[in-house]
Amino acid sequence: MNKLVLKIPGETNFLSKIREFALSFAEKMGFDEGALGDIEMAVDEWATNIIRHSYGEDPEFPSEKRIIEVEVNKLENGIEIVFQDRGKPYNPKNTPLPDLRKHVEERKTHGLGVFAMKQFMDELDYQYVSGVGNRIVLRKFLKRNY
Amino acid sequence: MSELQANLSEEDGIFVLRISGELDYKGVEPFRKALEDVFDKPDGLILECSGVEYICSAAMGVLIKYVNQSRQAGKKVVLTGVSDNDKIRNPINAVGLSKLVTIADNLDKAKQMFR
Repeated sequence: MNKLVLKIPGETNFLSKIREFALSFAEKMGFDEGALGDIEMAVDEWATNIIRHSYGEDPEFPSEKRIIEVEVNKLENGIEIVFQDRGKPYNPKNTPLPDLRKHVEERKTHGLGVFAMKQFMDELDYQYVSGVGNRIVLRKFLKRNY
Repeated sequence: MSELQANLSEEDGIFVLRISGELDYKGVEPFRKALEDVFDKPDGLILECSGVEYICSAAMGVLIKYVNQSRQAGKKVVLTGVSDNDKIRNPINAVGLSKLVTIADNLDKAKQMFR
């Protein structure tokens, strides 16, 4: 199987399903435990961002339209995970990386998710399609032992 | 995949909060509540995490805040069950939490830090 698609409600109850979906695909591709953990966290963080930021802060947005579409693609040398939602624009590339010391001093508890996503994946592309929503592409490559 | 569980016990006069299950965004509020409920322990506590199957960044943020509040109140928080737990070791190191929080290799060593 080179491609699978999951359409699922954008609710926190479904976060584990989204992680399972991406992980089971990645496992079959031969990623090691450490890389699978990286993928799990990146997928979870972005799905959480959609729920909290793209959909969560818009009470006008009808619940039946709060859908997350996740597509996993097998690349020659890795995995590509594509997220699409119908919510408000949220560009992770515009989110600055946090200073962890300041995080503690200022008692902040948010802002680490995008950092984790950038840290754990090899590539990240973002696009907002007008009238459609956010589309993000995450890629992670298999490390080869030469 | 399992729901978050938090169980408090007193061992050798030291409070141990055992956390297990998934700490994704759904589990963040129960985690925050579990920590708040034990904030009154005078010396602090050990957070035993060997049963944690996943930890998201928001949960790590809650932990950072709790550790900071505990320090300001003169209390100690020691994490254990992290070093051998493949599910959470990498994210905790990557986010830098291991530099901000005291982590003991095992429960016995964590208890020694309170003696």
